[in-house]
Amino acid sequence: MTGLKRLLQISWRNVFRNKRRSFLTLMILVLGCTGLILVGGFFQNLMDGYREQFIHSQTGHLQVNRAGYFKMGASAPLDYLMPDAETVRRQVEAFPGVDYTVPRLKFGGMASTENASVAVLAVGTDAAAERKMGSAKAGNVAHSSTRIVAGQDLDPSDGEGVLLGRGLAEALNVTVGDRLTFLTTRRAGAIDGSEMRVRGVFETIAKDFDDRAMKLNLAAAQKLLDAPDQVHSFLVLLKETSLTEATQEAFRSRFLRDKAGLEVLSWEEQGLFYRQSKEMLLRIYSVIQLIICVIFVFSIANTLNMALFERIREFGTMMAIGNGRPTIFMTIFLEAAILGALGSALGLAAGVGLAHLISAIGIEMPPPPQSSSGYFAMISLTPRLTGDTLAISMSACLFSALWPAFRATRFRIVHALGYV
Amino acid sequence: MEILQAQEVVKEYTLGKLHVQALRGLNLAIHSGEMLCIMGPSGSGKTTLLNLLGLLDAPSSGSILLQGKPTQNLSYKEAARLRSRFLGFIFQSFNLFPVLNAFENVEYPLLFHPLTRKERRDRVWAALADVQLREVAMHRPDELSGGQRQRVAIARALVTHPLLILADEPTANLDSESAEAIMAAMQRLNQSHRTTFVFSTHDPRVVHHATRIVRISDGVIQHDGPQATVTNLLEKRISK
Repeated sequence: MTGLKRLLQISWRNVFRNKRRSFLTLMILVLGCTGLILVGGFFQNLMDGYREQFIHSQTGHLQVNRAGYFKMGASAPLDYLMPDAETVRRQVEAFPGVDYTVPRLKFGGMASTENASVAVLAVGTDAAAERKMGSAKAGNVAHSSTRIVAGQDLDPSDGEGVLLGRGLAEALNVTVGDRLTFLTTRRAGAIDGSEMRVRGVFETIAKDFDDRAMKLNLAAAQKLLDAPDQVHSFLVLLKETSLTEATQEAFRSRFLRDKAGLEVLSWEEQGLFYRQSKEMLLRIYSVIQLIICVIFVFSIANTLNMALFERIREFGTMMAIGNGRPTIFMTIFLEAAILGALGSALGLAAGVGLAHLISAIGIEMPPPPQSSSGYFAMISLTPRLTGDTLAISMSACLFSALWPAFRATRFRIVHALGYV
Repeated sequence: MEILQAQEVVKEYTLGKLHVQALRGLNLAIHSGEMLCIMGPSGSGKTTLLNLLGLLDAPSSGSILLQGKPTQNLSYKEAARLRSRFLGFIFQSFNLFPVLNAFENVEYPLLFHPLTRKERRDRVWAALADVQLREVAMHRPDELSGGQRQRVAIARALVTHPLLILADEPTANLDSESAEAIMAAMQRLNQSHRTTFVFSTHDPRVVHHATRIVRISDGVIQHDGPQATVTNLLEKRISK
């Protein structure tokens, strides 16, 4: 123990023996760690922001449907109506972790004005719940995930008032107060039409949704389809996104046990674009990690190799005095560990500090793909991000020490003592 | 009592295409309490012999016996353990650790010995006192003169209470006054502690500190005897 303590002391002092070289090495570590924190935190923020917006504008954390609706519902929505919806809602809202639910009744139709006819995805919903969901704070993003950009939100007392997605309103060339005709197919196959009035225009992060979506009160939608107390889905909003998996499992076991004929899907299962985006960002980040890791390895290995050749005679002396190979190995290994620990600690501190500074200012971002509005990104710090950065930095340092340390143990003592 | 013996020791090197026989069947026995000087011109095999005696290198043939036990088949680890336990080294260039102060340098070999902190510190202070360096114990090597550095090196070699201290040209990098002081210190330790010293030199001014002189040339012993006898013999040869 005493020997190890003194070796640590020697290694610590040796790290500062060539101050300029150690400073440069530490700077590389600090910059690398800072870069990893900032890039990783930025990507994390992008993913978090997009995830929360996606959840709060489209899917909820979980979606409870009639079994098969997710795969087949688009082609035959009326075959997947959930009967006795109110009972299901009460059951779902009784689960621990559930905050509230948003009913959805989705069906296709044709919206027409004097000048245009556009295929529309009609979404019958509970205005109050929808508003609550849409105005939830979506991660660090400054605006809500669903914005009313013109007019007013839905009102249950206004049976003919509808909200149009911004793209749809533009395609129909309508503004708030204008009227339109909506045609759809009822369950029995009959085509029914209804006069509606544009009450407002909304915008979400998903432009393709905004280009074809029309929201109307659930009661009006049920009346239009002649489907009282029936919905397609309940979007389930949880108190925390992190509860998604556990709650989904709880739902599944309960609904399967009750043979309720329901399916429970998580937001992630529905979000192909999110999954692809996340995968792409993770891949990009992995490449950045690899590049920085390689820079770390070469930088530290170079420092240690130079130190090794400057101190060959010292290692010869250590061996002559009676130090075994493990002691020689440990001396160099400890130097790398000290450099790694110092560089990582300084890098993490710098990274975290800069992350807070940048987050306080915000990074103005253009609209993301499939979105129509820009936002301010921040740097999201997570324990995993700092842990990964520390692990990369430390493991690169220790890995780069292996070869120089091994070489030092292989010096012939007489050659090392005579080295000039 | 013989501490260390070299029996029919041969050491051969290959330097590129050149084959060099540095020692040619050399026999030598070192006795406890001796202050043995190995003399000879450059390239005569002094350092090679000291390296073999110090178990820093292995002979091409022949054997080195430490306290009567052969050492040629020792593993690296076993040889390191024997060096740590029985041998002390003093080098021409001092070879102190620059990041450690004098006290820490002297203490270093003891860190791998089973001693308490107090025992270790007592030994270090005693060794520093033996070489009269207590007052500079907290100075780093670059704050010491050449002579002081070599005295720290002597203390470091002495501190483990070795059977034998091997010194390869310990005065070569010192001015004559410091060289004389170093040799005097070694002689004093030899006489007071009965520490056995084997040192190599080609400086005739320091040989009078030895009790026995071995003169080697071209890898073989030319003369081996008490200091006075060998010195007289050498002086007669020079005068002829």
